[in-house]
Amino acid sequence: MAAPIFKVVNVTKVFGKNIVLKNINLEVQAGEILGIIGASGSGKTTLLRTLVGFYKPENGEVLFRIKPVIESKTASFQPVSKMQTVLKHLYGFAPQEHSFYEKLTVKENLEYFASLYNLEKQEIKANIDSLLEFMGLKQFKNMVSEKLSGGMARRLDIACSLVHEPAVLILDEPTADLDPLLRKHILWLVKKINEQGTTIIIASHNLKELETLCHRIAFLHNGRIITVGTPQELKARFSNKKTIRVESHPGRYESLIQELKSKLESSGVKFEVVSVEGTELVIETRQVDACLKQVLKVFESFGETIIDLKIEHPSLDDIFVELTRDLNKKV
Amino acid sequence: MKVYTIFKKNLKVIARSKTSAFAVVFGPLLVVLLISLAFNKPSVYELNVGLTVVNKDSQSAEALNLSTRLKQDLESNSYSVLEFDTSQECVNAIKQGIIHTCIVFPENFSTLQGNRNLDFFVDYSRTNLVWAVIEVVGKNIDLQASQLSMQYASELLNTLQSIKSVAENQSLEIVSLKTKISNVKQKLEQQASKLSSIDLNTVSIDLESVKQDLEDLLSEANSMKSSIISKADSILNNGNASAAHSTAQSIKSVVNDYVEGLESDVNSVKQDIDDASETVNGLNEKLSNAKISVQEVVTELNNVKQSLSNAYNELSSIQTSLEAIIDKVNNLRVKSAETISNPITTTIKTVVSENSQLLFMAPYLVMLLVMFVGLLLSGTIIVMEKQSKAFFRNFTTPTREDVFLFSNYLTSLFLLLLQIIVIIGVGYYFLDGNLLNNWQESLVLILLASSLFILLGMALGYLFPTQEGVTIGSLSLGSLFLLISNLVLPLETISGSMKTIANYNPYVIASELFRKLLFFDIEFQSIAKQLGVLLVYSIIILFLLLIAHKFSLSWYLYRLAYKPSKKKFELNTKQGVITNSEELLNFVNNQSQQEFKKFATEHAYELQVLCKESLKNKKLARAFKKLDKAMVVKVLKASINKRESNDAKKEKEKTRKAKGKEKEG
Repeated sequence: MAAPIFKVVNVTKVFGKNIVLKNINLEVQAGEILGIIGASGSGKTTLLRTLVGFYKPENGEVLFRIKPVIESKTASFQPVSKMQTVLKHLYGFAPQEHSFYEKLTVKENLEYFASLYNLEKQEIKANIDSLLEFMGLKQFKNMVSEKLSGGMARRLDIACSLVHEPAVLILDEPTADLDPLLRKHILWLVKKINEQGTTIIIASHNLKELETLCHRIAFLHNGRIITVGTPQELKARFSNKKTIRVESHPGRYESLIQELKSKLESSGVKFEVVSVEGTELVIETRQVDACLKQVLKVFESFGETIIDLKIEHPSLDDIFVELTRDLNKKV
Repeated sequence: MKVYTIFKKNLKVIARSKTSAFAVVFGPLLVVLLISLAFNKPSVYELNVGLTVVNKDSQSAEALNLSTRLKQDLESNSYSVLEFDTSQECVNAIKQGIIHTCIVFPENFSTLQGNRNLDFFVDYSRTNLVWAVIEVVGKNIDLQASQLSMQYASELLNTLQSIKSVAENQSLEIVSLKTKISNVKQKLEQQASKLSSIDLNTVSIDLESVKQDLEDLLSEANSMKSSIISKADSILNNGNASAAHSTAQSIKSVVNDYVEGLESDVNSVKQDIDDASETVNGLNEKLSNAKISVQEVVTELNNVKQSLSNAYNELSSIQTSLEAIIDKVNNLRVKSAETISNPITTTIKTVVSENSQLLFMAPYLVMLLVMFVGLLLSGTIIVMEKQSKAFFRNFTTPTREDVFLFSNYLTSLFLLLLQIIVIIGVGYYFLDGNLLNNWQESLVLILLASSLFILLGMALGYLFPTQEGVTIGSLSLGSLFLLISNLVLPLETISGSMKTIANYNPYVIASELFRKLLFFDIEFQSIAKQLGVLLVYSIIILFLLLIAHKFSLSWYLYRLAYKPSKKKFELNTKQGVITNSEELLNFVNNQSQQEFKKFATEHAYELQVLCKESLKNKKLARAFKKLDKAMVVKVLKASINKRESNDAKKEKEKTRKAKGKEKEG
């Protein structure tokens, strides 16, 4: 396992009367892609900004390791608030909204931001050339940035964050407002960047995208980290509930639901949702076999001809929804 | 390097942002250009003047002539003159803004007799124009009045001159008259003397003695006769008597005859003497009368002489007066009508060599440019940067904030200096005036003033969140500086305290310094104090800028993350949601000491927010901080009791008021 590069220890962040982050504990491993998943307003952006020291937490602290992340595993951690200049060389931050000068060309933007990192002219040139190539922006390098399309603007944004070759790239909702094709391309780019050794922290509310991209995922809900783990770990931990989807003819689902509910209850089968979604009847349960037996019986008694029957394992999205629903219920 | 990078970027962004470039670079230049053109007119003001001659047909030729002359004079000075039939029409035209002032010649206008008052209507609500109108039109009316005054003075002087010449002639005549009087007096004196010397005393001829003598003569003749007769008798008696007798007889007869004749003669003489005496008496009476008359004539002559003396004296006095008048007329200090009508003539001589109004305005205009461009440009650059999408990314770079500040300052300074160079270059070309006098000192001043206003604009840029805010703020501040400066109102006309404030107005200091530097040869030492004041201002504003910058960044980050919510904070626990003191007390009471401590530690910030924001109870927040359950319970109970008591009081008050209303009803 790689050494941690960031350590978030008991961090609480308050804005006015809003406690945005509550006792956050999190580690970011060197070389990984860490996804932070949460609904809008859950505190993802605040967490990312607190991580790099923009916001000073009211409680707890964020630590980071100065030495190159891969080389040294024993290097000491420093609070981000005290070592801002050093830290700023270490990370690149692509916020949710585009963050570049619209009146400058692509190349001028890259040159400008590269210059602010005290890079040598030649290094700047080399970095920009390779970045333009890598990000697919070469042919647009002299285009004024305000004329870039959404996807290109996002690529430029990421390029601006990478121009000083940071060890950590922080992306806040990088695929927001992009069409599926562009989203796919951006995620592919992120993967490529990570493959070059850059640690990536990515915040998003779209779990499906992160499921295949991230090494680890942290669920953030109402300012709290609910759980952290690899997608596989999370699925294994929370995926004992399955969904049975049945499509039948003539599909008198309303009367079927009443009967099915009473049969399941009388036979002691635990279930959570029995509903109609389009042309399908959906049943969620942890006792798939027993439930399926009752379903088939009821359908047969109603003279329904089963056209399709599926048993689905929950996605991370489902797990997240499930987890947050549980939390809300507790509250 | 970083400064140059940011500087270059700023210029590119401004240049490529058309509206900003126009607003920032060309806007102020345009404003100054317009102001320059406005101030560079041959006549300071272009005014429309209304002229009304009431009842024109019945006006005197003088009034018509005067109104025509006034109109011509105004028109020759490029003011347009509109004529109105009535004063009301004229005044209405002012109200409608068609004209700026109205001059009304009243009915029976005459400078000599009748109404000689011209009505001069102005609109005082147009404070910026009214004085100019009064000055301009008043000057023309004064000119007419001055011409009339000269005419009258001339007439007056001519009259005086004619009086003088008359007096001189009269004086000469008086002299001759006096001589004549003297002669008359002399003659009178002589005549009086002559008259006085006439002896008109009564003649007292002693005719009685003559008569007595005649009586005596007669008596003697009688005695002689008696003797002769006696002797003749004796002769007769004595012999020869006959001859003797005859002789004696003849003698006697002759003597008798003689005596008789003598007696007759004597009687006749006596009669004559009596007549003569009577005549003499008559003569004496006449003489007495003549004497009285002579005396009366002498007296009259003396009176005439006295009168002549008096007349002489009076003439002398008149002569003296006339001489005095002549002397006074001669000694009149003012002998020209122009001097009387304009006792003081002024020749405006400039202490500077040039006479273009625009040149004199140049220091104020250049500083106006420095002020407005400094404020607007720097503020706009800051807001553009703040509103730029890249503002956030700049935070993520290892660049100190002072580098950004300095770069923005440099950008503003560069653009401002560029504009000043353009303005001074244009001014140098068009004004034929040396705008580069004392150029080293001027450069120091311009740099200092530019820095001051740029720093101020930057501070405004950081304080205001939007471009509109900065523009309004900058314009307001600039206008305030402008309002209490020489450009709008002469400082000398402002009241004391405002004048003091105005003297510390950076725009006033800078523009006055620049004026002195442009038009006079001034040593650096003599302006060092004012430059020092500007420097102190700049340093103070720099501190303000740093504070505003810090405040702005904190606010930016705060706004970036936090959108204020009106909803009261609620504490979520496993047991439920806590929203008020009662629920919190219930929750705490249900916890053991250990559970309480654990909960209070884990939810420290949430509890603080709940206590301070929702329950507004700082004491409770402190109790939670101390992890003291007993104290928390105590404070909570006290708070609840207090609130209940307050509620009860309010309820009571409510009831009392309701009852009161019922009673009133």
